[in-house]
Amino acid sequence: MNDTNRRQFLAGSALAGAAAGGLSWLLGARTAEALAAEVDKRYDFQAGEWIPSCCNMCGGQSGIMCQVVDGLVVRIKPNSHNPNGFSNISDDFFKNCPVEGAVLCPKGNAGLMTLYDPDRLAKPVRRTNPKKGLGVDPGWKEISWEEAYQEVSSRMKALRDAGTPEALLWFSEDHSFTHIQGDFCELFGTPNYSNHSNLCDTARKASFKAVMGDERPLMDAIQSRYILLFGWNPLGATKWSHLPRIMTRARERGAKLVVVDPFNSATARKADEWVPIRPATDGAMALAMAHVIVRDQLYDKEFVARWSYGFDRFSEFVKDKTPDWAEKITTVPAATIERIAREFATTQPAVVDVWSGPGQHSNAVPGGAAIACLAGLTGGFDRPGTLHLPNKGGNKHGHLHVEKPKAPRFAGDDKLYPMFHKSGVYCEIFRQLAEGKGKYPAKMAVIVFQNPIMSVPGQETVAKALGNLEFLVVNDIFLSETAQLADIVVPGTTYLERYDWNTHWVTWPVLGLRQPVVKPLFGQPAEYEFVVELGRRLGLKDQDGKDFFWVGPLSGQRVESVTAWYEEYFSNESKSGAPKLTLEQMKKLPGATWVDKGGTKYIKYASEIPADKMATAAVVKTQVGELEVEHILDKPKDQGGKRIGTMLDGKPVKGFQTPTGKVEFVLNVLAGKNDATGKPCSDLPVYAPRDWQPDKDYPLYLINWKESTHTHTRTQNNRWLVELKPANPLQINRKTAGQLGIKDGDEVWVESKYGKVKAKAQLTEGIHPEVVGLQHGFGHWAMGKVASGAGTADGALRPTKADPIGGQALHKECCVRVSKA
Amino acid sequence: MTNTLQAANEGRSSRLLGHVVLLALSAVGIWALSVRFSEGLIVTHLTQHVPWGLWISLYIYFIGLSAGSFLLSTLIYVFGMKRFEAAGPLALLQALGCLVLGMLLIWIDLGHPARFLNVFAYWNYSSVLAWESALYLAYSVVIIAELYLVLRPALARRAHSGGPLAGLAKKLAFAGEAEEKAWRSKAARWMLLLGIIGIPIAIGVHGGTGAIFAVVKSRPTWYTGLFPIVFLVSALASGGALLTFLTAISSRLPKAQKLDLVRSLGRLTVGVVALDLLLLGSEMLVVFYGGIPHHVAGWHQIMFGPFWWIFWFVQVGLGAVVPILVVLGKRTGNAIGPLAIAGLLVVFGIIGVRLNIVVPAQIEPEFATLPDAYHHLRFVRGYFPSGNEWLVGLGVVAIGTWLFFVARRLLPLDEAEQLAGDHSTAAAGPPPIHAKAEGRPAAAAGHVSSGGDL
Amino acid sequence: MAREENDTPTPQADAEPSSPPDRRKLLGLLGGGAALAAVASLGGCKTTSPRAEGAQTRRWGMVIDLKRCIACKACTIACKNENKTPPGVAYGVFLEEEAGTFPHVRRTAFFRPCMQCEKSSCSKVCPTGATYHRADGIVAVDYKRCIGCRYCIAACPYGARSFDYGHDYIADAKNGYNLIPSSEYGAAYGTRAKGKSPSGNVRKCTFCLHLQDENGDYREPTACARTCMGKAIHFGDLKNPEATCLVHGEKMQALLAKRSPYRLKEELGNEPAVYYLPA
Ligand SMILES: Nc1nc2c(c(=O)[nH]1)N[C@H]1C(S)=C(S)[C@@H](COP(=O)(O)OP(=O)(O)OC[C@H]3O[C@@H](n4cnc5c(=O)[nH]c(N)nc54)[C@H](O)[C@@H]3O)O[C@H]1N2
Ligand SMILES: Nc1nc2c(c(=O)[nH]1)N[C@H]1C(S)=C(S)[C@@H](COP(=O)(O)OP(=O)(O)OC[C@H]3O[C@@H](n4cnc5c(=O)[nH]c(N)nc54)[C@H](O)[C@@H]3O)O[C@H]1N2
Ligand code: SF4
Ligand code: SF4
Ligand code: SF4
Ligand code: SF4
Ligand code: SF4
Ligand SMILES: [Mo]
Repeated sequence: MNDTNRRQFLAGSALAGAAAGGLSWLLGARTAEALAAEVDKRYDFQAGEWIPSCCNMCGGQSGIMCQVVDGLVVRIKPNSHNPNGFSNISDDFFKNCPVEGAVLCPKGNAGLMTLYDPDRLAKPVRRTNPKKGLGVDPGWKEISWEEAYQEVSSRMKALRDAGTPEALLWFSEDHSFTHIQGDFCELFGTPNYSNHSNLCDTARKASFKAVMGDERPLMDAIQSRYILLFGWNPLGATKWSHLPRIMTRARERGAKLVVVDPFNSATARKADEWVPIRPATDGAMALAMAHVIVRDQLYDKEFVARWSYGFDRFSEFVKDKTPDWAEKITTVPAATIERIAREFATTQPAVVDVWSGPGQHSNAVPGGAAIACLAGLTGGFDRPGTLHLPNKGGNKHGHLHVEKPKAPRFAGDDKLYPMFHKSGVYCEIFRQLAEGKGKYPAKMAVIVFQNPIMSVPGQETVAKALGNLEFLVVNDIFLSETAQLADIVVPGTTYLERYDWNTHWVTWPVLGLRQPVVKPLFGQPAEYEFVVELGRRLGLKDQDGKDFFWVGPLSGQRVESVTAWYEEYFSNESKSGAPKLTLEQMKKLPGATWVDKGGTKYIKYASEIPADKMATAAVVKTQVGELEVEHILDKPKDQGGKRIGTMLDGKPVKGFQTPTGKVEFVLNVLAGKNDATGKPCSDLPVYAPRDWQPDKDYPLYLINWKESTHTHTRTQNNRWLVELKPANPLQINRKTAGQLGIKDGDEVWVESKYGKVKAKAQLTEGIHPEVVGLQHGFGHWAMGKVASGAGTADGALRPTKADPIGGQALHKECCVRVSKA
Repeated sequence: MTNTLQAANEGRSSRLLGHVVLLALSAVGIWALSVRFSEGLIVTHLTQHVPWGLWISLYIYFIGLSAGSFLLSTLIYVFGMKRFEAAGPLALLQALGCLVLGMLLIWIDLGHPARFLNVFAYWNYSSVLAWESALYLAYSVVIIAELYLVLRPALARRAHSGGPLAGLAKKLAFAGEAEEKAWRSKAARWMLLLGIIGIPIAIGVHGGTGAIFAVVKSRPTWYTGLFPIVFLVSALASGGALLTFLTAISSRLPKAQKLDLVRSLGRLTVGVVALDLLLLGSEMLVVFYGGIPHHVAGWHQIMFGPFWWIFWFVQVGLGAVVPILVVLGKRTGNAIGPLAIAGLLVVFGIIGVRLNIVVPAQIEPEFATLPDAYHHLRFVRGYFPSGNEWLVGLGVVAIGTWLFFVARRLLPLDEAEQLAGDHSTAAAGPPPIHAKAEGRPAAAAGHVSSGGDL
Repeated sequence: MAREENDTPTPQADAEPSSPPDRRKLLGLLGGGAALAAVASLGGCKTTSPRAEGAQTRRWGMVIDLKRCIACKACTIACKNENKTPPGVAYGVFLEEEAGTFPHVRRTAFFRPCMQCEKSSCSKVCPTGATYHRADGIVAVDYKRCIGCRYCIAACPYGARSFDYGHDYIADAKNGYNLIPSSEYGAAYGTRAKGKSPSGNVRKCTFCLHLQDENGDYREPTACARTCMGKAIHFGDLKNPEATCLVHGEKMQALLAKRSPYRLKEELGNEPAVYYLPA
């Protein structure tokens, strides 16, 4: 290379070098993202504090552990000190939970996304548009808490001043801070405190109460060898997060799972046998099973002889309820019914249970009772692997010294429904309110932690009812559909920001603490604090003239801080309850859960009442039909005595809490009563078709259900959960869809005589051909950006109607036609 | 004369229009690119199942064009096919331009473009993509060197002729008249050597680009031994086609010579296209005969999926059958216009081929119900490019095309072409440069000063 | 390079930032491309980060008992909860399919985390080695090295990888959720910021390796296994015959000895570390 060349080359490479340097500078500047080599330990698993609490993404109250770092909830994981999340049987819990650990469902795992949901309501709002109705923009205006308290309390005061405190209706969720709300209502003077159980399972409650005297028996699946479920989807509607474990473990140990359901639910999918049934005919199938069991003498003769009442009449009654008879009603082949009946009766232990499926139709109570009778026939109560009478004991509601309100309940629902549940009958209340009926004008309502516009059948009626009120206050974490009808909405807290006691749905006494793991995000008061503050402003006093909401129940002293006062009130409940521990002591328990070491007790009904208890007890003679029964009360009736047992064969035993103290095949609680429509009730679990049957115009049954991905109408704005399930397509049997010319993914109209909604069709082989159905909870138009506009709500397709015995809202009774949109 | 002038004027105004359109598209592309760089790949419609879309399709398309062009050039410089010699410089420039475009596109497609050098900093032997990245670099070195060698005599001539960039040309030619002779003989040897090195690299570049896909066993449509070969063949087809087209529209050779060249290129191209069809048929035969659902699924997507028309109309119809008929046609096969169009059709058709390679194979997810397992727009089944993807794609192509024409103008391509054209007609060793320059000084000078070559 | 793909995992040779052999190789490869090499090393060396290797004596794996699985998908959300993955990025997903005709319907359903393949397609194709095998069998992604080419996504036969397109659940940067960094890889990447890793990277299930202690043993089972409602997910060391499931205490190898375990797409030869027990 000569000089020139070299020079040129050098120049060239200098150029290249400069370019390269420039390039790498350019790129390097962007690449060199703070390359701190060390790992940030501030948010790792051991950082911060792990605070035990209880989940409330649904009513299940599973134990949780919350990791909190710098005031942020970083993680939620299962709390293995809490049986609710592992097992409802104590042996299983004590032995295996330390090894295996508890679990949480998807919603429980998604709590963070609800806590930090950007669409949460942060400040109280007042409506500026006086017009109310579905789809009417309330014209929200943010107001201060002071303004909110001022307005709400003055409205309430006006009712009291006018001498009509009963004009205040109060509706609340049924597991959270209910005691303080009930107390408030009693002190305020209204008998109209209701809560959501009657939207949920009061039909089931009535059925079991009638047959075996307990409102909520729990199945011991893990020790069972045969699990027969009617319209109960514990693997999807995981009411308690331990259900999946105890059920799959049972199957693993050889149990057979049979699921009777028109839809191939999550539980049916897991079952050894799925029995698709025509909706609301479960009672007929159960009676036919009883027929087989009685006919072939497969029942537990000893149990029936000693522990049941009315067997002979029942045997006579089921004589003609043959499997062939049932096949025509249920579409379940007679041979299948025969076989399942025999399997069920001859496999020990076997458990049978029923929940919302048959329980949300107009013939729910007798149907459920027929199913409960199957347990009666096989002695399937309180033995390992059967239906348990839960041995509850937890917090104790402090005794309130106050005269009961004199006014009747607004809708007279307590007198109308023969098996009225203390939660009230929303459908009755809302219907009367909408129709301008009622025992007196209701002027004001408070709705806490519920969304009746979406969760009570008959959207229009409910909206009209709420619109007819002079003043509606809603406490919600979102501007829900119900909130859209309110005059004032105050932001509530999520479960991560407040206290509660959770007596758990296990078979022995357990009390779990829910405690605030972070301060309310927007500085808002917890729901109970809202109530306490109102009580203070109203100056509510008890019978002794005590300023109820100022005087601490433990200290007897005046307490300035609302929070401190409530903590005392709250602490008093555990202190005077089974744990006998204060709030502070409870907080220090492992997992902040008190677990009775005594554990699950079996065949409690046969246990004798100890002599010391008998010494203070009162024995009362009661007439049950022609029978005279001696009930044992813990103390004389006039001292508020509660029934603790029955004299049977001359012995004081716990027995069953039925009128006879035994399992009743003849339902004494219904004998001689009329249902809410005025029709006489039968005292036998008669199968009668439900009121609303398909016809030419509306040929299909429409049902709905829950899936593991969402809770009712409250999680559809949860950004994690919608990734699992963003909407609820209408499930149609492929064949049925074919006949209707509907293809997968088509938009369809679902129409009943009450209304019409749009849905997206999803074809499946997993649903009865006469039935269409969808997951409950979608179809929001308010609540939040994510929820709004997603999926379909079916509430508008039904009337606002309850079952005429228990007052259960009829969410699943509906007939529709489906056509391409 | 008036006619020629008029034609020249018309040519000029359409050229102007061309510039305007290209620059406008480039501007839009640059805007789209700026959005893409500030927002990230969120602006695309790519999903978790179809992580590679339009840009990757264009990337392999341009790599294909590049490799095809280069391989064509080797026909001349290595295998001495003098018939094509006049197209050699253009082929090389085309190879370079397309390579740059291809690399630009894959770079744009990166989630972290600023880190692209990590490929070299952290070499991963087993990654075809890593090897490819290196090959692209090596390949660009070879092309640049070859291009230089091919253009150098013309540069030298431009330096002597004293045209606009004579000074720079002189510098770049590296040689005074004295060294010219020595350079020339060295250059021929170098060309041969570079061509020989270049062949495996070019095959590696494109066969390897095919291998990027072929080694992916998770996508049965890609996972076949034929795939890299199909890539290579379709690369040749597209390279030949583009060369046919560009030669037809921009070559300054005398008419007869030009027709001859274009016809040869056209025939070569459709021959390769036919081979491509054969391979495609073979592939499909095996897939459909075997009937393994997962394998069939991809082809089913291609042939009967939502973009079935890309396969039937673009890829098979316009991209293969029509051009073959045109080139074989008695009249059409002997006229520059139709041949140019045939070339263009293949060029477009291959875009369809590339899209069909990249996208449908991914549409069928690894598990049939994967898109339903998680609900998010990045989990949906199917893919259609977003507006940004289209604009960036279009813009980058426009920028590339514009730069290509600018380069074509600035570089002494015409001179080189003519030099080569003379060789091929003379079918003899390269005559000395000055002789040539002397022979047709006016023409040469005229070209250099005549302005845009678009 | 010392590390061979798909070999039994050996400690990374290039754990040392821009180790000289790398560059030598590179230079050799590029021959005359010295300038380019310089650029490469300039641009590249800055992106190295320490790459945790895990314990060589372990081979972490899962045995998922489909008889126990109830298709609740808690696993999927637990993973979100643990790893704070953004929208559109899902490490563990749950797949379901219906078969049969009424009333004889069947459903196949299974949880699909990353299979942590012994012969992983993803790391094999990764041009930068950003995806790498740890000694304990976990396939990890070096977020500072990944260029976001997504080749690994195309290559993974299990659809187990996600590109982080930069979506966020919540726009407001001050929202509490946005202040919580993902704990992945020991929270090395801090809170989420636009254009910053892991946005623009490919991400995948890490077997929650941030839950390991200094010795490479787990303090806690992976989030999905921990929360699994059916207790279907067994997680533990597959190498040591004595090793037990971290959730339930059974011996991992004993679990594999009964009920004909299988792996997904076994025929591809990826040798997943995730086994399934038939439903
Ligand atoms: N994930 C989730 N879990 C939940 C809840 C939730 O919202 N989400 N809610 C909790 C609450 S409050 C409750 S009450 C429980 C309810 O739990 P479930 O009682 O299981 O409630 P559903 O899912 O409404 O209904 C159960 C099944 O009944 C079927 N069904 C409908 N009509 C009929 C019928 O006429 N006969 C029969 N045999 N079946 C029928 C439906 O197809 C459905 O599969 O779930 C609790 N758990
Ligand atoms: N069609 C149909 N309807 C049904 C059912 C069905 O299966 N099908 N199921 C029925 C059953 S079983 C039940 S139990 C009921 C349940 O019905 P509801 O008791 O009305 O429960 P949700 O629908 O979840 O509405 C709860 C409301 O409370 C708000 N919220 C959530 N968390 C909190 C909190 O922590 N604090 C406060 N203040 N507010 C909160 C939510 O934003 C939401 O607006 O629905 C019933 N309705
Ligand atoms: S079942 Fe799920 S949502 Fe309900 S309390 Fe338990 S963990 Fe929470
Ligand atoms: S499953 Fe996919 S991502 Fe996971 S190791 Fe295997 S190939 Fe890689
Ligand atoms: S996206 Fe990242 S991890 Fe995946 S192959 Fe490319 S560089 Fe490797
Ligand atoms: S192991 Fe961890 S990262 Fe992987 S799916 Fe489970 S929870 Fe997610
Ligand atoms: S959490 Fe367990 S039971 Fe539920 S879907 Fe996942 S693997 Fe199945
Ligand atoms: Mo409920």
